[in-house]
Amino acid sequence: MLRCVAQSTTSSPEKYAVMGMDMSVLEKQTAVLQRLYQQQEHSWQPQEANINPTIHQNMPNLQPAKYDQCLDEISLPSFAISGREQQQHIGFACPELTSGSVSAVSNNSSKTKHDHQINSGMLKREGTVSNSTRKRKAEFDVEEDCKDKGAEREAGEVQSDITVKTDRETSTDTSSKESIQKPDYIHVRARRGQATDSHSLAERARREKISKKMKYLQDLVPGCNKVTGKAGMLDEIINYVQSLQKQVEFLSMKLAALNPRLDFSIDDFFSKEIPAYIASFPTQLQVSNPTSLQYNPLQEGAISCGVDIAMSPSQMLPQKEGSSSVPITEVYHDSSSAHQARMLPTWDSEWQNLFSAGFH
Amino acid sequence: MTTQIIPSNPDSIKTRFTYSFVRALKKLNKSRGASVSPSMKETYRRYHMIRVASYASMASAVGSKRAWSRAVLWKIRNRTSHRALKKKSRIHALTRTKVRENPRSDLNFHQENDLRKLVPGGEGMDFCRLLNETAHYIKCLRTQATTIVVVWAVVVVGVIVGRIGDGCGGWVEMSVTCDK
Repeated sequence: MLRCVAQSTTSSPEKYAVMGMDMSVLEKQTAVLQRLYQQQEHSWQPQEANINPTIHQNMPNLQPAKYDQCLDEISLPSFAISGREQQQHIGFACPELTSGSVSAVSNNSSKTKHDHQINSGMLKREGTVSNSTRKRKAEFDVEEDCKDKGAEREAGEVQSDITVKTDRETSTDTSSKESIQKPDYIHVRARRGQATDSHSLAERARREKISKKMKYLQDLVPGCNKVTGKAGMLDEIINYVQSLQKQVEFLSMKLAALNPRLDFSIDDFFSKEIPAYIASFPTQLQVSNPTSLQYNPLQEGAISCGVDIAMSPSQMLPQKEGSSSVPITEVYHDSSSAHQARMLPTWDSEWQNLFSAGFH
Repeated sequence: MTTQIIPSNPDSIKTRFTYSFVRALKKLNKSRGASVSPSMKETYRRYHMIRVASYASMASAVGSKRAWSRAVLWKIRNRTSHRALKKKSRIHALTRTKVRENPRSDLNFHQENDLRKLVPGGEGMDFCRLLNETAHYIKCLRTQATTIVVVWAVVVVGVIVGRIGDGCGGWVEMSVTCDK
């Protein structure tokens, strides 16, 4: 008798009912499966297998679709499938049967309609193996151990508990095996169709290192995501470094122009406290795309920048407060002489971002 | 300020850079003497000194762990002799062969060379190490730029306060009427 237990869709591997099956029933099942193999072969959708590696792989491979089909035909009176349409977890386990027990389980998430179900006659879901992204081949367990296997989906939302032990094959595509890192060596298996001599292996390792570093640089440099390819990214990086260096030069020029106006009383500002204060500013800089720099007349941009920048520190230093934006503008007018205005370029959008972001 | 302000990370690169840069600015300010009206040349000279000071304090904040910081410090220390060297090397530049013609990265050789020129000390490295140094250099340049901005802001505020303290009438009126 087959007993079917419907379970909820959590990935607890212990939801799993062990059933006993008659030998004769199994033989019947096998026959049916064989018959239905060709019929269902086309409707089987490949899925990726994310099965526990401990699943045995010594089972004959059978398509799960036909599996469903064949099981439909088997009248198993004791099937009882619980309710929920989307997420049912039907588990079978026949641990003791030598000729194999079937269990195919799928946990349907709302996203993927991956049904591996052992449909009884009562269920109406048979045969419709909808598309899913995983490749899986459910098989008969001939020798059983009905261990619970939790299958992990790739996509986070898809949960499928493969409670029945099924034989899974990993993807049959030839893909490179993962490199197992050992303390002494890095073992890399060669990919299919590629040379295996030491030179090309070392070359490949070097190339992967370089691409990893380029990815890291891509995160550092803003606006690099849109560009693909090494050449474009290198261009972006070069532009960014150049613009940063120009920023530093620009700022030091501004400091140099300001300094003549400094009174000597400014010296007591530069005690220990001020640098500590400065250093405690968060320096999260979100610079806009440096390739969109524009050269604007200095006055406008600088004055607005001066307003921006002087506003925020004046908020921070309440006891020195007393100034507002207007005198700051005046100061800036005085200090930025005409020659300076001509000399220095300003990047309008970037500076706005720079100044406003420097204090947040 | 009455309360003691301690930076959140007392040993970060940013803190070290801030301290040394502000110290350098103080020294520059002291050596300036009386406030003269700045000539072009004077301003340019100050600009140059401030720029060198910023790079030097950044490199010393980083230390000698990085190749680019070592190169910067070396360049600054050997500035005078370096200039003479550079003039000589320019003569030989045309005859010099390419630094490293890597057949693998032939497509990007032009950009690679540009990057080497930009990043200090980038001449003698392979491409992989160059990318490492570039990443760290970008991070430090960023903190440098944002910190100098804050320094400049503080100076501006100080200037304003100084003017108010001097008793400039118009300033005081304006500051009183305009509220924060």
